Amino acid sequence: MPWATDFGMRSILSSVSTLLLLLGCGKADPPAPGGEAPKLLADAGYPGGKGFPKLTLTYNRGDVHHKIATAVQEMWRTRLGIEVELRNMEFTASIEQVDRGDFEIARRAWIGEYTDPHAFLDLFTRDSHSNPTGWGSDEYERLIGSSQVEPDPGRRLEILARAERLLVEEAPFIPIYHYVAHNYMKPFIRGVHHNVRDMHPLQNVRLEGEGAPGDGVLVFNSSEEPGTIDPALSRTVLGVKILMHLFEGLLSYDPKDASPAPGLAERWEVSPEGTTWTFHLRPGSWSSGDPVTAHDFVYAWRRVADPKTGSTYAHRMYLVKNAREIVQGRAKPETLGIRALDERTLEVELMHRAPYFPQLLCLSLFYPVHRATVEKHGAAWTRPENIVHNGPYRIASWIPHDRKVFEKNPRYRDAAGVTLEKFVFLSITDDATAFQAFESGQCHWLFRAPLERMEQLQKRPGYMRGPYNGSYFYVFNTRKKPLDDVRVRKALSLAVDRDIIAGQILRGGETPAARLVPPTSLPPK
Amino acid sequence: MTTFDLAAEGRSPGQMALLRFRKNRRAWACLIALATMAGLTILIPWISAHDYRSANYPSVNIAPDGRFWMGTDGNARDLMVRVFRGGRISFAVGFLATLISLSVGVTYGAVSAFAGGKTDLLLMRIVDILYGLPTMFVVIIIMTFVKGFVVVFLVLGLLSWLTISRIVRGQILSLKEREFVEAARALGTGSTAIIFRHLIPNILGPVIVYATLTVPSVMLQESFLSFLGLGISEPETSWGGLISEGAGALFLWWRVTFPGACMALTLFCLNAVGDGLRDAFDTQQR
Amino acid sequence: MLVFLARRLLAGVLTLFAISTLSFFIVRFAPGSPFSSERGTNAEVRRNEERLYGYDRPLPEQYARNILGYLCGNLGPSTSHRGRDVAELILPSFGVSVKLGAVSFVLALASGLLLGILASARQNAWPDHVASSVATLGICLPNFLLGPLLVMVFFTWLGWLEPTGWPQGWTSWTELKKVLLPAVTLSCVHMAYISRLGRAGMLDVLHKDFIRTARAKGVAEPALLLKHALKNGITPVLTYTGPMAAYLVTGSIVVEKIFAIPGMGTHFIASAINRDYGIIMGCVLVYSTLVILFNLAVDLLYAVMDPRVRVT
Repeated sequence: MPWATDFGMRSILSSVSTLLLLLGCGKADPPAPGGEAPKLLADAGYPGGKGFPKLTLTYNRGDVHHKIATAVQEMWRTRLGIEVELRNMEFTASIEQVDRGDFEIARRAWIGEYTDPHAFLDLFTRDSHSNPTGWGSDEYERLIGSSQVEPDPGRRLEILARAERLLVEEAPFIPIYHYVAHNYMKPFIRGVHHNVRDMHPLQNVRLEGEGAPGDGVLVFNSSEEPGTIDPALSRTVLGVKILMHLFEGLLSYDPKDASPAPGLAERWEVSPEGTTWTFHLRPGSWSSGDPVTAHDFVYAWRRVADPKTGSTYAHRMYLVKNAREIVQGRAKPETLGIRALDERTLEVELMHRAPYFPQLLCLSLFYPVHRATVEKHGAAWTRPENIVHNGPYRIASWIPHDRKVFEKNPRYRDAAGVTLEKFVFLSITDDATAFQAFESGQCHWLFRAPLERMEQLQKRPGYMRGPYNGSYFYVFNTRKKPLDDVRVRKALSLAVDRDIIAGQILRGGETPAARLVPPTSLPPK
Repeated sequence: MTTFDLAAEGRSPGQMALLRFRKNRRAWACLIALATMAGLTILIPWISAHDYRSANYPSVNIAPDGRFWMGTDGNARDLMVRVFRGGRISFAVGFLATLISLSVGVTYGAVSAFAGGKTDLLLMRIVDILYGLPTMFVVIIIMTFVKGFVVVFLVLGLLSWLTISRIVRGQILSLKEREFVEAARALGTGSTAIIFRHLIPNILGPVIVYATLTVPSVMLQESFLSFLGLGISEPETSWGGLISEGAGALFLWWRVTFPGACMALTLFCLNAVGDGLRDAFDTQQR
Repeated sequence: MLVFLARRLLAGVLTLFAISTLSFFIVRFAPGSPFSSERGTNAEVRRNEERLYGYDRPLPEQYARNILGYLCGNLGPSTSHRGRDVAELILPSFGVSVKLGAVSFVLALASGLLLGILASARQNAWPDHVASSVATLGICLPNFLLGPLLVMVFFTWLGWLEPTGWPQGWTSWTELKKVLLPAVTLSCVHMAYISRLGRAGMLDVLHKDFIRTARAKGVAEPALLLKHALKNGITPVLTYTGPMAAYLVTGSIVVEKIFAIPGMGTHFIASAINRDYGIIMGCVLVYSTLVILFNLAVDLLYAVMDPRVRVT
């Protein structure tokens, strides 16, 4: 009987099912193939998927997520004989529901803020800001903890590798693939280099050759609206991409490989125990004409930790001494582990060793802000007419959900070294529309294209891709039955054919994943 | 002149309308086309060799051929099964939402007309207020928070009953004063009997016409929701969902042409049937 | 007349009140928070930001504050564009939506009337069939399909028009090229309805006695159509323009998405996704006001055009 096996129909139409059920549904499928996954599931008490409860798979809207979820749903149905319901939600709603524990299996992704296994493994610690799984292990905590005090880099990585093996063995997550950064550029864009952080400082980009725009303005589609540009509040990858042009921190991304390079800090020293960092600043200037001093950093960092600022990204600063206590309201902002030894010397105290600290400093969260401006205008200080900044560009105009125009900041300390005079960020959210803008020449640079157009676009000159420091995975809610059983989790994980997802759906050179940490965050072999 | 002859033979208004409708060749043909389409949405997913969920890798985005008559989609699924399976959902949403809209609207209008006086005034003021609601916005707000097939037709149905309630109220108000109702009342017929024997048959015409025109508009609204990503969830689909998936990649022509043609044909036929019914019931035009 | 106006305006205010109450509670009881982030958040961090916006207060208090704010014309702050007020964000985008709506309005009215008149002048001949086919197409093609189709034809194949963007100025052809495709997409359905209404209205009039008299007197056909018939036959079309205006401004959500236009629909969708409570409420209020005003305008228009209609 064709409709006897159709569980999906039944649940979706639960309250009106009678009408439609009579109309008949899908086909019965061939029995699930053998293999390790069905065996694990049978061991757990669900032979052939019998008696397995109907789980939900929560993911946020988006063509790629949708296609992957649909494919995984089908893989589990045919390989394990189990049904899952797809729950497609708005991004914020999905995050909130997952954080609240109201989920069974959910999509997650992580773009590492630094290239180090710790950037990813940190997610599954007990007090992680982003671990909804309910999974925790004393051994795992111990390993991560000892990696933070281990002075020898090689041994440190070995400890982290052990932690990751433990994580994969316990399977609170399903690794799916490691990201690839795609950049679809017009061939006249010169001086852009692929890098694993996909950060591209535009200062030295040139527009040359056939088709280059006469006005010399580079137009980039960021695919989303950036929201706030307050360095203390901005928390997205796009936020960093914009803010690194408006501000300059202690360190900046090197235009070539986006490695941390000296920014305002000319040089720095680390104490032998690895927790005290001293930075020596070079002269810099605010757009108002005031000099940038070490005190501006002290003010900015305290502002991030201050509960009154309400920064939703403040937990990224917990590495700095006392930051957690300040955010929680248990200590005064003045107690933060940062002080100005003089106008040009800054001393930072960390909670533990962190070889990746220079990379963190490139994030907008650690940029300086101009105290007088912030205090004068309050929340309105980031408006184009109020903002005072110290980076290579300034805002010429800012229309929400439309064009954001940036032009060279003549007061930048290295203004002479800035060759690109002007650039524009668009925020076209619809990939098909963005593609049309690219075709018409209204936009010169995309980093996302409709899946259907990818093959066509990837053949063009100007297309650039390479590994990106991020992983795409599903997480389990291990508090819920039957996901509390590691055999079930492993069976579900094994039944996902990553080669199909990478090779048939994404088709952009993504690496099928068997672990959490992407190759970009591992030491080169 | 036939209609007058028929009237002389003592046919009810409904029967006369039916006869007039039969004479409308275009509307009649469209009705048959609709029935065929509805039949296909049931039949094809049933008899097809493909399942609407099965992925046939590596046949991703394959143009129509001997194996996949309407090609495949981005998940390597047979499009033909999905088109007709999606049609089933589109039809179901259209008809169920209309049913809800009718039951609420007719009841509301009838109650308002019968109650009269202050109640009538109050109820109609509420309708006035609800008219100010930007419907599509409310739908979007609700749909970003709750999902599912049931929600789609419930919400669309519950937000489209205003006009029908006004129509019904107007009809009943004018009928209430007419001679035959007064005659029935004089003969001692109860209110319930008056409503069911005399009033409902007389307002049936406008209600049916309105209903046939509500179905396509609901189907269109559902397709907008699908386009905004707020419609039915996978592996189910609807015409709106298929079209919006295909509209982003027009060069894969089959992905938009087949669902688009089915939906356009259905909407066209529903509108034509609605127009035909309006002509048939509208005695003033004759 | 004044009493009528006053009563309708009062009803309008009541409507707005009901709508803001309804939307406030739907939005607040829904899952999702304006402070969710792709970078994860800690409970304490989240609490700090909620306190900043007063979202940690009891709901009834927030509701009362909101309504009081609206009464004073204050739409409150935006969470997704920190440092900006809802009003200053919405107003420019409202202007964009109104401009797009206005262009579509003119297009729909002009082309719809033209088709309607042609069809009625040559009833059951080829112009009539062409007009009715176009009208049917307009009604049966959802605009999220029509838009990409037009882009394919006029941009990809012919290269005449621009597929995306919104003009910075309205003076040069290069800028105007950006408006045409979205405006046509948006106006298509309405053009279809107007041509149908226009045809029906004109046919109705053309069969009246005074037209026959005029024709018998030897008035030339174009003059007959445009001078005598149009004036009377246009009534159903005019009454449709009110709701149409409201639809055009409010119904552009899909079109704005397809053509990347920074109108209010774009703001609305983005704010619904980001749970920017302030902007959601602001958009709903502006749209509702608009719908109420247009409905009122239509009723007044009825009264002005048809002396038999009494407004009470």
